[in-house]
Formats: sequence, structure tokens, C-alpha cells
Amino acid sequence: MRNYFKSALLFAAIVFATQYLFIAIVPDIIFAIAKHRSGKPLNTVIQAPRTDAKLRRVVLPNPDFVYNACFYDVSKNDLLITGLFSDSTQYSSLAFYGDNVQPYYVMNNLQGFKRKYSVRLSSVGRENGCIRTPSKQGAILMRVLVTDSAQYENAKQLQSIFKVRLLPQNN
Amino acid sequence: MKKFLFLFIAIVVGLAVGVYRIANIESSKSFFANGSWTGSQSLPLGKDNLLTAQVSAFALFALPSEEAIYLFARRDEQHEKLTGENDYVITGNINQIKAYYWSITAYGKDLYLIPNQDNRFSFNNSNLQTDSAGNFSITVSSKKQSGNWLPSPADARFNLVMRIYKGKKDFVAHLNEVPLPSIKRLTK
Repeated sequence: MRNYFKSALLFAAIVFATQYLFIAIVPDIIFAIAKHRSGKPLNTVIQAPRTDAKLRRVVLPNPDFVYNACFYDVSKNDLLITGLFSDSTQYSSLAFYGDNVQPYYVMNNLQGFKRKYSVRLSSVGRENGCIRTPSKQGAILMRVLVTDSAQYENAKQLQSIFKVRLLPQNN
Repeated sequence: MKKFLFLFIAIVVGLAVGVYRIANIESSKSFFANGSWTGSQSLPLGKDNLLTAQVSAFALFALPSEEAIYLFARRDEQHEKLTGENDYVITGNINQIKAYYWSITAYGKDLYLIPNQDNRFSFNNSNLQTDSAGNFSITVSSKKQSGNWLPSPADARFNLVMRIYKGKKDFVAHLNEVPLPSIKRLTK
């Protein structure tokens, strides 16, 4: 009876530890899958076509948005991210995610940011205007709202203007 | 061999419990419910591992709450799961959601957009047909309908997601009690 109780207790402890660890690492697993599915090298801009039912890389895509994405790695270099927001009639934003796929910084065109932006992304603390990433790897997502064909044309322009360049870390 | 089997079964059960806890967003303490809609105002997520895993799984690359709120509906107002075997009507008023942009999108069970000939996947506050008072109704059906028609899969379960971007502070703070569009089953 005592052995049976000990075994049951051990079984429950392993179940508890496994589910706890699994829940803790799920975001990292999902990030690794998303990075792999992007099919592009790190620090490269991915210009996504207009979202429709053929898009199978990311769950729950928003069909009203046009996206640029970049999976980054700042372990050896900083990044310089440049681009243009649309005017306030068309929401656009730049969101930064860590390797746990959680956002840590968002800029958008409704917050008073200048339309033309240029930001440095680094894993070490730097001067003003630099965004510090909590992890060496992560993702940047540019979103542009598209509600009609004119907005779509504008979004395509914003997509092509968006650039990510490597900068030396000791600069 | 017995010890290995014991360990293997315990790990498999642990993984199954983990998957169940992540999938069971409707009973999560971090999510509020309002009618058929379930959502969270807690993004960014801090150290809540379960909520972080749930959001990663069901709303990958979601924005923080001050930017956007995501509400999920897996069931109608009668608490029955949404399925393409039935038709539904989503009713509301365009002015009841106080935000820069909001939309309602249909997704298949696999959480991807539902293929359809019209390439219609969502309605938003710019393209909804409303009456002069702002009232709207969206018919969710696998068969083409007049007016605001949101295609659903023929015989499979599906989900609805409402996105609310740059919602007014008062509105977002009371999302668990403000009137939101209702989802009623039409046929069986």
C-alpha cells in the first residue's frame, strides 16, 4: 500500500513537472517553428503578399493588414531599421517581439512618431533612439491597415521602403 | 523496463495536461468572457507562463493590449460550438465598438482563413453595410447570402475573432461588460 502511494505521488510529480515545463517552453517552440517556416535567412525582410486563405505560415492572419516581417539575430551585430509610416488615415505600426514571441516595443503612426523612422535595435543598452531587445533573437513585424485599393497601393510602397541593415556592435 | 514505461506514461500524461491547459482558454483566469466572446486585457504577459503559451498558440505575434485587443468566439450565444452545419447571424451596432479599427474574421478549426470564392474573410468598421442608425447584421454561412455574408466551412467547426485596434480607454477597460455583437444560431 505504501509503495503504491509512493508510486502515485511520483507519477503526479512527473506529470506536474512535465506540463509545467511544456507550458513554459511552448512560446520558444512556436518561435522556432515560425522562424523556420519563414524560409528566409535571419535579418532579412520578408515582404508578405496580401493576406488570403493561401497564407499558412502564421495562424490567425488578419486579412485587413499587409505585413513585412524580419526574424532577427543581434548576437553579432546591431540592426538599423528604417521605413515610413502612412498618414493618420491608415494605421501602420512596427512591433518588436522577443524569442518568446511576446511584444516588448511598439511604434505606430497614431502616437506622434514622425512618419519617417530610423531605429537601432541592440541587445546591449545604448543611447537614446536605440531599442534594447530582451533576447538575441526575435522578430519585427510591420503592419499596414488596408481597407481599399488606394490604401493597398500605399501599403505596397511602405513595404518596399522598409529596410533592415546590419550595424557593427561596437559603433 | 517497468520503470521506463512508468516514466514514459507520466511524461505523455504531463504533455497531454499541458496541451489541454493551453487549449482551454475559455476557463483561463486571465481571460474574461462577454457573451460568446473571450479575451484578455493582460498583454504584455509578464510572467504568466500559461497565458503566454495560450497567446503564442492562438494569437501568434499579437500586439499589446494598449495597441490591440483580440476576442475569440468558439461558441454561439446558446453555448454551442460554432459549426458550418449551422448558419449564424452576428448583430450589433457599428458605434458600440469605440475604436480606430475593429473587425470580425472567420477562421477554420486549423486557425487559418477559410477558402471561399469571394475571398471574403472578414468585415470591419469600414466595409460593413449598416442601416442609418449603424445597426448591422452579418450572416455566417457556408452558402452565399445577400448583404454582409461571412463564409464558414461547409461541415466543420470554425472560430470567430474580433480585433479592436486603438480602442477608447473607457471602452477597453469595461470590455467584460460593454455590449458586444451577439452570435445567434439561425438553423440546425
